[in-house]
Amino acid sequence: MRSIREQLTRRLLLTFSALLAVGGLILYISIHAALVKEYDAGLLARALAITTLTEQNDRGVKVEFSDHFMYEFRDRVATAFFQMWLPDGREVKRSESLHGSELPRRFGALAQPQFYDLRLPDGRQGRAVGVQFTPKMDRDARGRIPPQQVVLVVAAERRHLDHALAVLGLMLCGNGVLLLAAMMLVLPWVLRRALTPLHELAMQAAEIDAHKLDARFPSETLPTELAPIGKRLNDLLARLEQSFERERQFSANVAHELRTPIAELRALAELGLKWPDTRSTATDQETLAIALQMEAMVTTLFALLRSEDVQFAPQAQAFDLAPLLDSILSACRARTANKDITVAIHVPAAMRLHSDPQVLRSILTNLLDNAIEYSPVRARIEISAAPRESRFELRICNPAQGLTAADLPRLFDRFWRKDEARSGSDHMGLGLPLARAFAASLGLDLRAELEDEARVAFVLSGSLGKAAAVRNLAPAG
Amino acid sequence: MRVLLVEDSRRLRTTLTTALRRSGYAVDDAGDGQAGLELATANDYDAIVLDIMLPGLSGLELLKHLRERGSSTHILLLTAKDTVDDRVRGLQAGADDYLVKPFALEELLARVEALCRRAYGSKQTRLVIADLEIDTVSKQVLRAGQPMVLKPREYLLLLYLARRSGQVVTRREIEDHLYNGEIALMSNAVESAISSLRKKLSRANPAPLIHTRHGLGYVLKTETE
Repeated sequence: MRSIREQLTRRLLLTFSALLAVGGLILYISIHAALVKEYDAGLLARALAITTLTEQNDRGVKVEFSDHFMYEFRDRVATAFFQMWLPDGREVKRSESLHGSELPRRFGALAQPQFYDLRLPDGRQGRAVGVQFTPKMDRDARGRIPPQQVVLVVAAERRHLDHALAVLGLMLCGNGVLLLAAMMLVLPWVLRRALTPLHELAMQAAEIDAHKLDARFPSETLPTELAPIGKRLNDLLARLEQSFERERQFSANVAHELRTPIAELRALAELGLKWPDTRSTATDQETLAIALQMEAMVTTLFALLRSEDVQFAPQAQAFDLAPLLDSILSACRARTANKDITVAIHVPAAMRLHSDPQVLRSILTNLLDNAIEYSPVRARIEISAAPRESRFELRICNPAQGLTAADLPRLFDRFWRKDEARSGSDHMGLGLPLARAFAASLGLDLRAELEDEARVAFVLSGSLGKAAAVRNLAPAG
Repeated sequence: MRVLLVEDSRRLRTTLTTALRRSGYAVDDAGDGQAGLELATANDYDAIVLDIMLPGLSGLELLKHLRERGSSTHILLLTAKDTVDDRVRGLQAGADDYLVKPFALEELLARVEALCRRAYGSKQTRLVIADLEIDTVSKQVLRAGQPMVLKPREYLLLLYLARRSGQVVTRREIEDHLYNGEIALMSNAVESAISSLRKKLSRANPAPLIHTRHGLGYVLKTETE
């Protein structure tokens, strides 16, 4: 498993090592250049000292050199060497330390002397500077003879320089290794401390299961980087808890709603088995009615699930509203006649909608069904619809004795019924939730309002601007 | 035995009433809490089968009303709710038993029978009075070791008298607990049933067990008692 701490440790160590190496190298090169420059300056100073001792006269070029002042050129000491030539290659002077050996004759102008490494006559590593210069003219010979240029090469051993550079290199490498080791020891501890909030967050998350969805992360006390994660996780947990609670309630409701018809079915079957003579057409019809009731419940539940499916795509088309309402009312005629209920429709004949007629039929059927079920005998149900500016509104209004404002938000809850006993009626409390879910799938809004004289109005409304919303077109025909 | 069934589901109410009557109980039924309370207060029942979720007055409220009025009728609660809380609430309200829907009809009948037994202070499933033995589980009756063939109503009449052996049981009580008001006021159905029962009892042993207390009723006991 990939660990952030291990990855960070590895990457930080690699980065630190690289930076350390580059930094050390730059430092070494800088100090190396400075030391060599200083060494070269020393060499040049010796060469310049010799040039000041060089003079031209009638007899040629001579060097007023004294070993007393420059003892390193002596044969016994032999830490420095010089050799001077005329332009034709004839030697003018050489140091005692050279004996019979030759220095390489490489040089530059006095203003731009040439420095180079070389192997000294005694085999040691050395460094040399070569310059070409014009010696000062003897006073007597001045103006009488042409000035002559000479070449001077001064060399010296570089043991001390190389030693200093080696020590410098070793110190840099040693420090680098020590720093790296210290980093390897300290970094994991620092990272562990720094990542503690992340670890705690992970531990808290690990403790959350389906039974602890009420747990929340302390997003206020989390570090800035983790606070948005904590907040988002809290939001997700809240939604998950809500969803679990809804599903739990839904499952409990389904189980509860199914228990009574199953009990009825089982009791009927067992009664028939125990006392076969009790079985009759009437009991068979009851069995069928129970089966149909359960089928209706399952069908409605599936319809609810389908309406919540994101892939549910209504098929919108233009159609007249009035004939649709007439057709729905015809299907309910027997039930309205049973209760002597009057249904008054106030819908402009020319009103056309652009929506899915089948889904809208389901919505309106459920609303009318609900109105008939809960209206008293000889009640009047009003259905009205009209376009209003950029919106439309369709109202189904029926008497609702005993319904209070507190009941309104619960009307669209699954399995909710005003009477908790839920007895006698075939209504399962799924019609209104289904109607609202279908309305949402069409981009419409369905709400309930209490009116005067203990009446409730179910209002279906939508914006003409919505893609799947109702669109009032030109009058039909 | 007289039982009250209060259940809002019409289908379940009809089925259970039929099953209880077929099992020999005199059954009254009600579809809502208020009607159930009125019946329970007006009559003396051996057991009440009570649904919890009732329109109007809930089953638990009905139960509380009954207990507040001092009724000790044994009550079996029926409900579609099956959480522990629901059961505890029902039993705390004074119910004697609890049955979750859906249930086996046989289980309901057995529980009702157990409650009726408790109504007469007996937990025994075997009643013995002299040489008369009644097994309430197998519903077998023996007199002097001889098995008796009884009609359901005769069996229940004998059981009712046996459970109250030594006590005078009035004609009205027998009518209420066995006939559920199905017989006319001047009918002699009770007398006929008693007579038939006496005949069957005397086949194995002529010593009379059922005695008439004129103007009062009947009592089941041995002569020596």
